[in-house]
Amino acid sequence: MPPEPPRGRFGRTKYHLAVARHEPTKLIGVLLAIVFLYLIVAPILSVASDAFRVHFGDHVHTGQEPGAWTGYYLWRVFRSDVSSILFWQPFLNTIVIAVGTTLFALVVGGAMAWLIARTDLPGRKWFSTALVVSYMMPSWTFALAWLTIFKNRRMGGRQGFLEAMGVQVPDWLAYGAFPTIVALGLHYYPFVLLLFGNALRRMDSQLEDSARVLGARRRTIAQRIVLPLMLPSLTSAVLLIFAKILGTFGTPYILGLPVDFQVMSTSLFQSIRNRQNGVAAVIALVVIVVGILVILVDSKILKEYRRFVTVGSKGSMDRRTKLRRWRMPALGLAMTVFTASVIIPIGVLFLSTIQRIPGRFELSNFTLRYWIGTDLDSVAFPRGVLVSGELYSAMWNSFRVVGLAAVCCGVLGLLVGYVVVRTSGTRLSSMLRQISFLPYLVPGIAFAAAYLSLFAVQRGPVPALYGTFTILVIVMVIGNLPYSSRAGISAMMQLGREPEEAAQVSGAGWWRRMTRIVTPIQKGALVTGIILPFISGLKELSTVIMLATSNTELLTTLSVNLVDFGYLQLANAVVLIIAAMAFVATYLAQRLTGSSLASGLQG
Amino acid sequence: MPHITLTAIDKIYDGEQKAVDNLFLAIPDGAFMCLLGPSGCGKTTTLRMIAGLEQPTAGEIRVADRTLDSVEQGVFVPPEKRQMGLVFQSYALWPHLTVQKNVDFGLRIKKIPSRERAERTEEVLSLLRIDKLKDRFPAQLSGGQQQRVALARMLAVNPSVLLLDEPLSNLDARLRLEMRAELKRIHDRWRTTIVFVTHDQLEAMTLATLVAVMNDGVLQQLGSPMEIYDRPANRFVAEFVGNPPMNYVARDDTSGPKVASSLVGYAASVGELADPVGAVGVRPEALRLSSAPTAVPPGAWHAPARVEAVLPTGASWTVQLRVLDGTFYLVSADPIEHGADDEVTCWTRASDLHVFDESDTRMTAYDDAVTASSIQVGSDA
Ligand SMILES: Nc1ncnc2c1ncn2[C@@H]1O[C@H](COP(=O)(O)OP(=O)(O)O)[C@@H](O)[C@H]1O
Ligand SMILES: [Mg+2]
Repeated sequence: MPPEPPRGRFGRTKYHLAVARHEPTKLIGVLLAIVFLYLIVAPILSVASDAFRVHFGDHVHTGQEPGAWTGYYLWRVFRSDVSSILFWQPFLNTIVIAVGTTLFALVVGGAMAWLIARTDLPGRKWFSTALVVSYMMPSWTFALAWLTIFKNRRMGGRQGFLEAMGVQVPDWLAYGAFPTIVALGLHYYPFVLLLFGNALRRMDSQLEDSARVLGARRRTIAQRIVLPLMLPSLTSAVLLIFAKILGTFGTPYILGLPVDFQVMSTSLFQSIRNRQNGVAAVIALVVIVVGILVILVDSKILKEYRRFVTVGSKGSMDRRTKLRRWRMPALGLAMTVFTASVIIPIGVLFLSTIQRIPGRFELSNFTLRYWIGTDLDSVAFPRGVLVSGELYSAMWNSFRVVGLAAVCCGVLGLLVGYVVVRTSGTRLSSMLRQISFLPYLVPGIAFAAAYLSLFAVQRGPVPALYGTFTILVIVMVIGNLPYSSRAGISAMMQLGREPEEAAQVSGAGWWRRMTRIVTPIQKGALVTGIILPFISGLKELSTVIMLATSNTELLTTLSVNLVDFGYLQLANAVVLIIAAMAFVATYLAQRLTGSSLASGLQG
Repeated sequence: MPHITLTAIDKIYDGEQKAVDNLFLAIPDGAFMCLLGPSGCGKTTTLRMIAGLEQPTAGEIRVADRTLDSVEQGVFVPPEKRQMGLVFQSYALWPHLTVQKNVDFGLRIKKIPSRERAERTEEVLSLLRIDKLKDRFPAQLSGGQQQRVALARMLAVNPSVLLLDEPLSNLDARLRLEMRAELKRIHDRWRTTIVFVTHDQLEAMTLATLVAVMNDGVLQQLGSPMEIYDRPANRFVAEFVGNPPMNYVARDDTSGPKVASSLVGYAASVGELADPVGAVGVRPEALRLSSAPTAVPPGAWHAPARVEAVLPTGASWTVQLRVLDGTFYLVSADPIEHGADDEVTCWTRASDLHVFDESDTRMTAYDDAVTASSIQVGSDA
């Protein structure tokens, strides 16, 4: 055996440095991990500390110095006289809304999924696209449409269609839990449709057949075979909807405000508006904890089921139940769902913007003043949306913020994927993968509260970002990070590291490999990775509502502000514009990338 | 003078077991070296460390006078500066470039003038007989064609070392034979040092000038194919190389099976061995059959046997034998006249036995004794 080579004292360190100098992947990975930790974990820690520290102005109530540790806010939220208003009632309401919406989405989405995936429903291909359209509209579109129809005298401004026609609308029908459930349910049922429909389509029909051969009857098969196999996808859909509703803001805000119907997200919003930062922090923490629990339960259930889920690809035949005389009624049902979830909301919103007095169908009542008028009888918004400065500046802001965020998402997603795949098997790789998934656990509005807590003031070298475009971009990028990095990782996994390594041994340095090999090959993934966040960012409200100011107004926040001012027609017009932009972007994305609508549904 | 040297190389992936364990390897200039071993034994890892794509945890890699890796001295040359060629098991062609551009890429990086580049590309493409495909994209090629492009891409830059990771494993049997011949032709023509990874012992035996057998990250034996075959250094090598595998009996202290004690006793007495014998092996090709013990050459080991099955392959005959209490396989190039259930005598020469000690290492003392003995024990004479 040859002698051992001589050992330099710092040889090993020197070696690692030499490797790092030529191979920036690890360095990039470490930098990404640090930045993500700061932008994801630090805000949550900050909001957690806010919940237990005396805030300036509260020292009178607590008798403690500002900054001291305190249980005051916990007490105020959970045990005080106001805790019912601040927390318990909103908490109960949230559960009612979440359960109701989930049931609604399950029934509607499940039925539609079965009709499309397993029966001979006429036009099922068309329905499979048409029925997910409602998920592409901003979530509070339905809330606005509801108000436009059912609004009664309790609220100022123009009355709803029904009141205008002389129908007395009771409060429970116009505002509060019931309309919120319907409006959210109409937005979220496509979620069930997609997840459940996929599982149904992939299910091996040989499993059903073998049960049938053994003499099982249809009902037995459905109960013993199909349902247990579908359970994971159903639970998954239910829990994901639950988590989304926890963080959703627009719908409960618009429909709950007139009757003081509060859920956790609106209560959080009000607390921040009233500058009760300590209370807001406690509520935000509760929302975060519940959100994390829900997702953990989901992943645990999925893991449990993975053992026996055999929804393989092999034997899945295209066997469909013949509806026979139920075919036409089923078609009618599907059309009804489409009408209720797409045609009515859009139609009503549009009608409301071209009628002087809503619900009156005389020629003289039609007008374009809400679009292009200059003499609206209001002080704050005297001009129609298309001729007022507000729309265009908000639109420009939306484009800038969302566009920049989307580009960052696309690039970051691929970069994360690159590092994860290139360093696969190391701790850095799995850590990066996990950190980038973290925002998924935090409901949107709570995440915004956490950002507000961290970035409202200057901290060290980081200036106060509240009121800037930067914070809007960052919160959108980070909120979308789980989706972006997941897409980036799977794109890079599919490619593998070998094509790049082949270039490397051929003599190409890092920069050249990135520009000549990796980026050109991943062009498609990059385009998709930019367009999808762009579409969902255009509709984003929950995470930006607390962070946008009058200087950084976006289209979505503008629309909610218009509701606040009681200009329902203008708000409706703005939402229609957002929906139109989202549709156009989706259509272009489909043309450009050849991907299907279904894969574009996220966030 | 050895061209590539690996000295005391360790490789440990994050928190796992050693993928490569204290590996010493010297690969002479112009060798066709084959890394052979079962899957998961660290072949790919070794190859990737030579290419610089993976960094050793300890040790040193040198090519000629140039240190490429030295963990102890802190030297590292990045893969792009090593001037090697590496053909991946998956080929890893660049899907967005045509065949021509794929092959051209390395030359462009070297900033070779375009006329020279075109000539060189043309030459390599026609050498590998894919010049007609040069405007196609990788997705439009068959597996065999992709394989040729992957090879051409690396040959174009005229690497000092060509590294191949199981390049033939994704091809069907016919193409594999064809590419084997191709590789041999390229090696003869270019005289590049080739390091070739495979788990197929036949591939290693037919192509290599030098074989390194690995198991569990540890080098088991380094030698020419014939050395590996004729004098396996330990039980692992003996059983891994050869098809059907070597007949093998281990001494069992408690029960003492008859055939084992017969062979072990014979080996110990012929080799005049002082140390205890652990096991004895005999290749199927070295076993012979006779109708009666009298026909066995003097001094050879023999035992009564019963034919259990005769399996002709067309070119040779494989016989399953019950020898005393053990099952042996025999391969014969000549037709076998016996049928099932025939009682026969099976025998072999002392020089055809492989004798291992109790730690499964070859007992060279036995080989030396047999070679040295003036009476050629069991020779046909
Ligand atoms: N990137 C990696 N991370 C962790 N372990 C690895 C990695 N690559 C290989 N290994 C492990 O190292 C051992 C040797 O692998 P490899 O060199 O690929 O074997 P071979 O090429 O001989 O089949 C295996 O146990 C394998 O699981
Ligand atoms: Mg391998």
